[in-house]
Amino acid sequence: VSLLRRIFRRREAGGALSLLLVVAGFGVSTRHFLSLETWATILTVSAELGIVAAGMTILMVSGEFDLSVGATFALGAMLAATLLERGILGGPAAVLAGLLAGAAIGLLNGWVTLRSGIPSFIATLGALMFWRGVVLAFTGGWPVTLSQSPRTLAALAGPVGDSGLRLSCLWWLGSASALAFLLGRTAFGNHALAAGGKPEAARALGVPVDQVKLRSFVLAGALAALGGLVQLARMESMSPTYGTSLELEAIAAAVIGGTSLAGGQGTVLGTVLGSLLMGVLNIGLVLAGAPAYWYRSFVGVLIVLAVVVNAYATRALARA
Amino acid sequence: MTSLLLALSMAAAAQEMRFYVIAHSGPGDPYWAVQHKGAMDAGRALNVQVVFSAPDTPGDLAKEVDLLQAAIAARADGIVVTVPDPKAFQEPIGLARKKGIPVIAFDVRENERDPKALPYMAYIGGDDYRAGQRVGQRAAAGLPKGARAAIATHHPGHAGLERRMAGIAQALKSSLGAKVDRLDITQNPTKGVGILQSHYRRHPDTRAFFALGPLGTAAVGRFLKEEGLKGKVYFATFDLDTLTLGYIKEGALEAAVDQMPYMQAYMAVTQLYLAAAYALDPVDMDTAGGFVDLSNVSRVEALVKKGYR
Repeated sequence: VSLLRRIFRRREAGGALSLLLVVAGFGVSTRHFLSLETWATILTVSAELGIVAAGMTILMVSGEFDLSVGATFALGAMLAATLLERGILGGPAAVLAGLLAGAAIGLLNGWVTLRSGIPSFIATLGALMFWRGVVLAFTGGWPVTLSQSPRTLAALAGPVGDSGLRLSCLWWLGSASALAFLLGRTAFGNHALAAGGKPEAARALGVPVDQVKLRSFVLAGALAALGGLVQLARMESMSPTYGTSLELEAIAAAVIGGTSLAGGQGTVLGTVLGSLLMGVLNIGLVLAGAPAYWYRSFVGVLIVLAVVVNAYATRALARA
Repeated sequence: MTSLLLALSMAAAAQEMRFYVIAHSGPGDPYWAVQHKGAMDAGRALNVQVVFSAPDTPGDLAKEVDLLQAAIAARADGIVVTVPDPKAFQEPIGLARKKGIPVIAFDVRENERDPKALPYMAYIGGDDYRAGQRVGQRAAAGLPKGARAAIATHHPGHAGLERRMAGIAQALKSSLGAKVDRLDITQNPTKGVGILQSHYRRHPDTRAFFALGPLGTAAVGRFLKEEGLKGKVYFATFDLDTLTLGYIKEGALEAAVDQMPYMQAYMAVTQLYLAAAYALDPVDMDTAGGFVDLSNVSRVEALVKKGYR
């Protein structure tokens, strides 16, 4: 009983319950849903979002947003694709350049937000438009297609045998585990929770609030770029419009998993569940034969229901 | 001698002619870069001045209307304009015609032609519905009766894409009695491939896939390659980019319909010139007739690089 109670007391319990309900619903109603191929597809679809959302979670916990993750996703990958295709850099160096570009955008977002004191919502909304514009102007709107795919990229998103699974899942697992450790087990994590929850009190206690936030911005930017690089590896081609509206999905995945929009609360495991739920909805609805024009509406309704279930469950479990 | 004088004076008159080409998106967009080149090349060939203008933000209709007003105020000898919204363009096009300025619509226009409301003289552009029908008819030639097909849209609600989709469905249903599914594959290619995989798992009898533009082509092409369906199921799409041409060369994509943007702007300027110089009335042209397939892909690819396709 105490084990069960410990599970229920966790912040992720509500998100897990939502996910379980949705999986059970599709499992009962939809043929092909409980198959290995379907779950390989779901994991692949969730992985890119999951990587971006994990970075977003750290930042949201520390009390800030990054609306520019979708543009950073495109810019990091487009930079790597261009460097590769023009033969300027090899695979590992091009991927590293993409990641560094993402981190640099994160750093700039953090610097502008913290230095000027304006809300990160606005600072990064501006960054979203600016960097997307840069990518569009730089490419003239054309996609960059890789004439050959280097091994580094295959390591990011190549297939795992004939299972239908892709290596992108491992990168998701790896980055989420690292961030979960960072948030749950280190001084940095404690500082982030304090900075997002009660920044004034945290400052008074000597928490380096601005430094923690700045590092969170850098993490969010780097992971957004990693997500883009994974997508580039999968598609072997990058369009300047890829990653559009990813920021909202990433925030939704975090919130479904129990991360607070107000900062100070949240876990990476919860966001993993939230990202997985988004993948389950996207794929499950197709298998269930949702009509094309209603598809997005259904996804929207189910996202809200998932958060409602989470909120109720969290309150009920707290009382129990 | 007189004929030489006449020729000289005509050339001088032509030199003074100034045509405005106004679009809702500018040369930063690859499709519009081709339109821009077509307009400018026509101007050079005919020895007339062509002014190409578009809003800084693609799709900013208020700004496009402003540009149109400015062209009228500048006493243009002729105007070529896109009509992405019938209401907003009613007044300025009416005004231009009242002032005797010839107006040709290109690229996009209202759903139902109403010359009283929008008195432009001709439309030059792709007819999306008929282009869809052509794609559907071409696909039907190689498909069995009652076959199942899926049309993947990356932007539900986009009027042009909806017309393409309706055209494909109409042709497939009338010629084969085909079962036609519609899929929202979103603009995220990873999600798109996942959605296509799931749909195919649900309907493994699908014999043909259609995309409606380059963003959709990327996802469907990738899906066919990964599932080993390349060349085994039919696949056709609309518009050209480097990826689309690559899929044609690989044999994953049977054909793509090109709206021939270079021809749209080139012919619009040419028709304005013919109207101004010889009182030849502009006539409609449907430019969405060019198929690119294995037979001409290499040639077209070279022309894409040069900016003509």
